[in-house]
Amino acid sequence: MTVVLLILSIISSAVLVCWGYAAVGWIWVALGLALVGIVWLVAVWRGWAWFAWVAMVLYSLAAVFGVLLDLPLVWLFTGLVSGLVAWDLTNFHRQLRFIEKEDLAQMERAHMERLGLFLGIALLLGAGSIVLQARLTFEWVAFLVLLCVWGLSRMVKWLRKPQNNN
Amino acid sequence: MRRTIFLGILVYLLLLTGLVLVRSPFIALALPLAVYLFLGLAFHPPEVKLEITRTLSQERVAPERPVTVTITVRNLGGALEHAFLEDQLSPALTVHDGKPRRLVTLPQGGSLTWEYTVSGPRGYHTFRGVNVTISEHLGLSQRVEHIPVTGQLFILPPVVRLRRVYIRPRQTLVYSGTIPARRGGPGVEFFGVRAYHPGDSRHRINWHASARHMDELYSNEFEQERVADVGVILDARIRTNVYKNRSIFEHSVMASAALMDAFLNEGNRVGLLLYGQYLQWTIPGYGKMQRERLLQTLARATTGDSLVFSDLAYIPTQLFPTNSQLVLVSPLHPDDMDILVRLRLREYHVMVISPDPISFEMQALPDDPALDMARRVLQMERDLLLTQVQRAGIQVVNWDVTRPIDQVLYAALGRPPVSLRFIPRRQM
Repeated sequence: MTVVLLILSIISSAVLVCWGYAAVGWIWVALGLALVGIVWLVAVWRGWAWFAWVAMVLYSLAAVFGVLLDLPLVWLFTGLVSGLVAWDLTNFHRQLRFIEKEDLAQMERAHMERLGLFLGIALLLGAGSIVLQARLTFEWVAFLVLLCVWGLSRMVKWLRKPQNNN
Repeated sequence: MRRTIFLGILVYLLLLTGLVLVRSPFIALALPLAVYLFLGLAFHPPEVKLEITRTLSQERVAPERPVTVTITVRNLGGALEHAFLEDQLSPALTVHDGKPRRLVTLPQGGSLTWEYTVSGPRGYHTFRGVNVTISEHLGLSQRVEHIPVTGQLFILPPVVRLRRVYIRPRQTLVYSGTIPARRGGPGVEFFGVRAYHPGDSRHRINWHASARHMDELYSNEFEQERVADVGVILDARIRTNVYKNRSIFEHSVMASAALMDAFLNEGNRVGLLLYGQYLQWTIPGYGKMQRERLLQTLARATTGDSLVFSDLAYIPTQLFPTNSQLVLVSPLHPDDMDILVRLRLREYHVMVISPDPISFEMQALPDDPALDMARRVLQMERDLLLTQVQRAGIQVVNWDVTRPIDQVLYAALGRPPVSLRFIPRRQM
């Protein structure tokens, strides 16, 4: 089940981001991103887990540039979410060899449930943000900056805990 | 952890880009990543409270024999979504069936048992503990703990049973054994004739000798058989044992194990000196306990080099009683000749068991006329060395390692050597 979902998520992320670029005539960029998707599939087959990280960075950059180029946000957003799912499943797929057959179904189900929860929340928030595209006012920016600083400080504190430094 | 940092960087880059450019779509793009990160951190795994035990089907085995390792884990803390358990094995051990690593879900109070099979070469192998990595399903927040669960596995050298190893040291101990003691008394072998003492059995009277002397009776005397002190010296120097990447040391260990077993079975007191990087002395003793001690020492034995012990000059002779039997197991180096002669001059009865490094090396080399010529030259040099050692009154067994040790030792030591068959009566 994991392998099927992994392949589907890689294909969907490549197709969605490519579609976004191809829709506005950036064919070469779209082809390049499609090639990244193909290499990612090959990497899954060959066991090159490191490529998932490269692909994730490339799709994130593609989404950022897509926003700068005013491409339709829906394709970029869904493509990035699919890429994130593929990145997660690549990591989980690598761990499958350590799971015994009798535990496999249960662990896959639990993982997919958590991923489903993520997808549900992410798509809900994403849909909300796309539909209600609010203009960033000064108050919003100030709030988000404060949120960023607070989040960063929490994260640094968390990372400095000895048990989390592994 | 790397995944958390990676996602954190992506989220903050998107947020900051959005804030700098004052464009909300960047913040919308950061949302799914932030949700993923939040879910990972929200389900942060609880404190690890695991009780782990490891049992081995056997703690002392022969080389390459399978040993089943059973790991039992009990979760005394909260439920663990992903628990990656990795048993820390000695790198020399090879896993056959099963795996020493396992990824499981452990509910609160749940337990898990799994098995795997290992085998390995001779040695003392320790199990250090179990590394536990706990994470939630997305693998973002982790806790890593090392749970010490110690264990040990002795892979002992193979002990080849020898039928009889004939030794005849000058000095024997007080207990009866199998070594002729050069003293008259109860025994099997004829030793001499002496005047009849009151109390001698009529069966022991030598009627032929008595018939020649009208007034006196003579009794036969038999040679007492006793146990002796045997010191085995195992040469563990790299210069004599390691040839390029191959080591003949395993053969030396096997020969030592076989000889020590044979000597102990005959009731002798046996000690072992490992002479290599340092000196390791196992004090002499008798019986099964001593056999176990010696085998465990041999299991741990490795080759080593040191400037001090590069030749045999520093064999601590004070450890061995004078006139006792010394058995040196060594491929021999030409420089060792003088030391062996010196040992002989100190009145030790010295025996050298020498695994043949030339036959050992030739096993790994292709058939080549040039190599054959080199082999013949080396063989002549070695034969010359062994002849010189023999001429010094040292018993030498050249072991062609392509032949089984028991056959070689039985042929060489199964009966007393000619030089020892007729030894004059000891001065009383």
